[in-house]
Amino acid sequence: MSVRRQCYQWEVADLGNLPPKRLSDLEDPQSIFTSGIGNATLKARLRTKPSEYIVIKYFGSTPGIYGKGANWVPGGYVNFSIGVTTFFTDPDGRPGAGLSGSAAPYPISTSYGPAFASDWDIEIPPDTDWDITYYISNAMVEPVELFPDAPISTLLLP
Amino acid sequence: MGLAYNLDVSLWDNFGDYLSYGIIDLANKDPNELILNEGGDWFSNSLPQGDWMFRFCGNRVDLTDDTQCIFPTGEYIIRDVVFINGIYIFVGSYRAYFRNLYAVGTHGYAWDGFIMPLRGYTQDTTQTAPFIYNATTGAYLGLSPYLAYSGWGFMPMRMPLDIIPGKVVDAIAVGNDNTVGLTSIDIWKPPQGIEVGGLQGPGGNVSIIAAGHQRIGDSVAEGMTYTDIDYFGFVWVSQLLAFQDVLGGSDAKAIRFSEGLWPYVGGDPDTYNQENSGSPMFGDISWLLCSRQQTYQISWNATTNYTCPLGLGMLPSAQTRLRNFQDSLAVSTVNSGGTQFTLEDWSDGYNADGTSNVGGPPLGIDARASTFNIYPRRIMGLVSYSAQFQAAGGGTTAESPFILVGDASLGGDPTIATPVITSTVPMAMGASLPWEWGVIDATTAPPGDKATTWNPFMVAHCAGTSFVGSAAAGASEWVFEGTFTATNNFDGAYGAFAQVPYETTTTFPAGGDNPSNQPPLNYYAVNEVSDSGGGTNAALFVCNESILTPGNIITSIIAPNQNPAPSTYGLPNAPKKWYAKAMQSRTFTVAEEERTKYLNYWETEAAGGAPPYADPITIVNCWTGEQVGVFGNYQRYGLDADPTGLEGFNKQMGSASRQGYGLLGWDATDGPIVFMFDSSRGWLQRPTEPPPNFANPEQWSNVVLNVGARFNAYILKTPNVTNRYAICGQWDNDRDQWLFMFIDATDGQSIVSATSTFTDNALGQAYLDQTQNFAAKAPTPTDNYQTGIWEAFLMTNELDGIVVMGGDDRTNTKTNNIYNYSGSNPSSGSGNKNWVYGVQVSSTTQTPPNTWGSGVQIGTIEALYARTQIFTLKGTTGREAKVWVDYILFDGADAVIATKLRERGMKVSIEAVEWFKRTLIHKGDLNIKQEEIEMWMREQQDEFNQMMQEAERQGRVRKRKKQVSAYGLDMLESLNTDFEDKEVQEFMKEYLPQSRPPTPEEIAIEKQQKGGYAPFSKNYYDEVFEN
Repeated sequence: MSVRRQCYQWEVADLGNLPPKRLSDLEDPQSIFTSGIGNATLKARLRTKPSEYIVIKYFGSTPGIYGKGANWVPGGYVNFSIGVTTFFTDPDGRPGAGLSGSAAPYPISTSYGPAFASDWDIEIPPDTDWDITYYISNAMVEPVELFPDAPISTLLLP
Repeated sequence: MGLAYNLDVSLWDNFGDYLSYGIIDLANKDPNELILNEGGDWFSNSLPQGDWMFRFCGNRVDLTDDTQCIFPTGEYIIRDVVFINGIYIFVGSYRAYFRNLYAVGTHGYAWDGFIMPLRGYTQDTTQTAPFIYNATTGAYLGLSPYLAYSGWGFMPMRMPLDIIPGKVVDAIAVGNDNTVGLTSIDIWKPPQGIEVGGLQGPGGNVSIIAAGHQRIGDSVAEGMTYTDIDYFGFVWVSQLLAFQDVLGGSDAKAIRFSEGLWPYVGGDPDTYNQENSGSPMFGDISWLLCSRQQTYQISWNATTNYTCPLGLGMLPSAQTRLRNFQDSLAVSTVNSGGTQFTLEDWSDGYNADGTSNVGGPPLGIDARASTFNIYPRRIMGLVSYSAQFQAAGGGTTAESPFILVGDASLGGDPTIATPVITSTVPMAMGASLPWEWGVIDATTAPPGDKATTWNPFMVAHCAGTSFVGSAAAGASEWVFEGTFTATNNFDGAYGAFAQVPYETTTTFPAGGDNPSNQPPLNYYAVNEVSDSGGGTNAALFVCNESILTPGNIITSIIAPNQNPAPSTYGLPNAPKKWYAKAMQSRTFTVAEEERTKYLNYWETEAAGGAPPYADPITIVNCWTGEQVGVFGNYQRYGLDADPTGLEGFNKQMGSASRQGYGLLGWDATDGPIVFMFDSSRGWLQRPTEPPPNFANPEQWSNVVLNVGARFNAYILKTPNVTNRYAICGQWDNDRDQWLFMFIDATDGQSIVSATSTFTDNALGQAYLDQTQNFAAKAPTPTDNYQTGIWEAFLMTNELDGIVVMGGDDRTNTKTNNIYNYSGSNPSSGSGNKNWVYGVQVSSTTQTPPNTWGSGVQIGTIEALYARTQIFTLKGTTGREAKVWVDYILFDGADAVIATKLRERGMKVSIEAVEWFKRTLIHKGDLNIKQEEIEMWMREQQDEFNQMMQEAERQGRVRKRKKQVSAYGLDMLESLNTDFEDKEVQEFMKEYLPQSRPPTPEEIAIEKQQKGGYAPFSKNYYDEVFEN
């Protein structure tokens, strides 16, 4: 079959199968294919073959920007790197954070629906390096391990 | 880190329900069966020939090894637990009937201490559950035929057999005195092992220090001067379980259950298979053995009182290394009035009495505590660390130091007819016994080897001195500092806990005043301080001098009747009693977590040594599939980013470590007390010190969090009650969070997670009540049991560990006398710091079979079957994130077409590619013209419009089921699944004239406008000949 509509789901969960230190890597953009985090277990970088042409129709990620404690949400952003460029860029041309899960949610629910047209049609021509990155702005496992350095109490022993 | 919002709690009833039965059965078993590999407990797997197999046999009058002398009743108390290399080591007390306890033929009940290892991984399966039971009725059936793989062992300390605990007339009191036994345990730490992997030795060993005290029935007969000495200290320093080859070859160091394991739920473990029990689990265990000569026992007259028989054919050098407490323990210069025995003297080969182990001239002093009529009475607390640099002693380093706290008996005038002690006072004892000595084979060591002949270095610091010490100008080394509304009294008080801030400390820190140029403080928690007003409370003392230095000043910072009260400054007032200490340990590095997974780390390439390399031996926990930390896996104190301890080594008093230490207690007014402080920031400044340590009046400053009330408020079930006690707090550095346990008589247990900051912040909340996770599994014990303890399992990805809940006394009466000083044995808090009491299930009788050996049958004795509620934890945040991508892959010729479409500026879609394909087939020319594209698009549009018009006329425009999207349906679609499919319509909109390719005319016009440049031109042919 030469034309196939396919899907890929990447997921990571803090259920004890990854060290917390490894989860903190997600606070920088990580490949959802090759990072080794979650089910990103591919060993080789992604590059379309000379006989492959990919059109990404939709993408989404866990929605939610603000939320902590028991109401934690990832504040996650998806971006694409195609060749030496990224799909979502800042106005100055540098790679942007990407599109948030609230704007392009997965799964779609009554609380979160796509904010843009459903078809993105991001085209990846043959012989092109490409990747999809994801990063979370709310630490999955908060890096808090130090005892406070304040307040200092002074006990007088007259 | 994120609190464990997803805490899975599992029951370990197979152990907690049957432990009483197992102890009884193990003691009753023929020792010759214990030596069999699969039939014995962990202490039966001993080399060379079952060293400990006779540990329930022999006594003072019958040293034969085939006579059972210990008959446990099933009653037990757990007092402390520690974790190392995947194994929990419990200590406590058990009750037993002892043969010939008082004299030949005069048996009796008494309490004794025990050490009990319990493997925390690949546990509770068909091959590794220690006890078997009827699957239907739950009735206990016996020890598992695979007991050796269970990771369980039970080692009696034999205290009543070594020293008669009383007179026959006191038999009832002796039988009820549950204060004796082991009270505390910690790791015997090698100085090279501060960083995991630093120790180039058997880091897979389970090395521990355990301490407690035994009852003295006739102190004068034991050679003590005084008639009323009732208890004496007892210490084990041991390479308890050693990592050794079994069969030779690399894989022999692990037992791999290749045929699979099933969760044990009763019945015959051999009947489990895939058909009746589902898919098996696969896991391993490390094979650790014990060698008796790798244990030091330090007790009163150990060399003559010791009664545990050696096995047949064993060399005397294979005996337990026995050290007399009275020969090892020196007294401080403050207590002695000047007589001094230093670590340097000891390292030169001298004993505390001035005699030399190496043939040197006598020192001319006798600094033994017993010479000054000072006797360590009870040891209630213990903390160990890795190294202590005694710069003042010529740079001598104390390896594997540890601190023991408790109390001491101070002798009165020894010359009177019936000498009696004057008081019992708090005592802190510094000691050092190098870890490496414990791995030296005594049977092959050269004569006079330190490891086999020397006493440990020990020096006691007491809150008072004896009649003899006083006569020599000795005094108390402990001081109540400040102003008090009533006079506090050391008599009757005891040290309960000790804390040190770092793995290595020095008496002379480097770096000048940063900020104090003095070593950081040690902390000593004291219970049962009485006062002139009739009250009894706890206190907290500090000292910034090395406990190994023979003269210290130990100063109170919190004490009863303090004026102004500590609460004035944000500290808790003196609680009724300290129940537990909390000590944060540093986080392991990623490299350390890698090293600890190799049982044979130093033989592998990962260690960086020279080839040849062995294959890494890893141990997998069958329950999680994760590799277990089995090499050097125990907690370390100090700084998170300082695995080698070098930075912590130079830390000074007043410099923060950012590690939280604390003490847990209770006060009638405030309820639970959780007093947390920085382990190193504490700064004691005095009028007698020069700057920067000068302050008048004396003061102690630190970062302090008095958070008992906060915990109390966060507990969901009846918050803010004042009869709630804080009883346990332990840190899990895998998840960087605390788990605290509280109890109250009405609501039972409350278990709360807490972050290192104890304060809600932008990252999340600091407290999370986890009680319901426990109550869901075991509601009755969670709601009723009044004591508890928990220990973390380290080097994993979760907040995990073991939680043990028990009674406040034998029947869990909820009187909670243990948390005060009232009541009478066996429900007394007086004389017991804290405990987890096995709750009585049934009280009956037993008749030990005595089917082996030469001893006559002991007859019918008490049987009290008890249980503790045991849980295992697995906690994470449970947070998850997902990314979904929905794409079309054009492969082969379609990809070529798609590329061509893109070159033409067309949107690549299935329809476009299909059209292009049809056109290609029709014409056989890939270079389709723009006009043809435009024509095709307009035809498509017309065809679509025509189709829609006809459909509308025929009434066929109605909603139909949408094809299921690959990326999921939104909720609206779920609620109303019928909708109008506009996919083609939307697609066509994309190709309305405004988005069509320009006509050749338009291109030419644009080309002219742009000075000759034509958009979309791709090659020279297009550029030149298109028009």
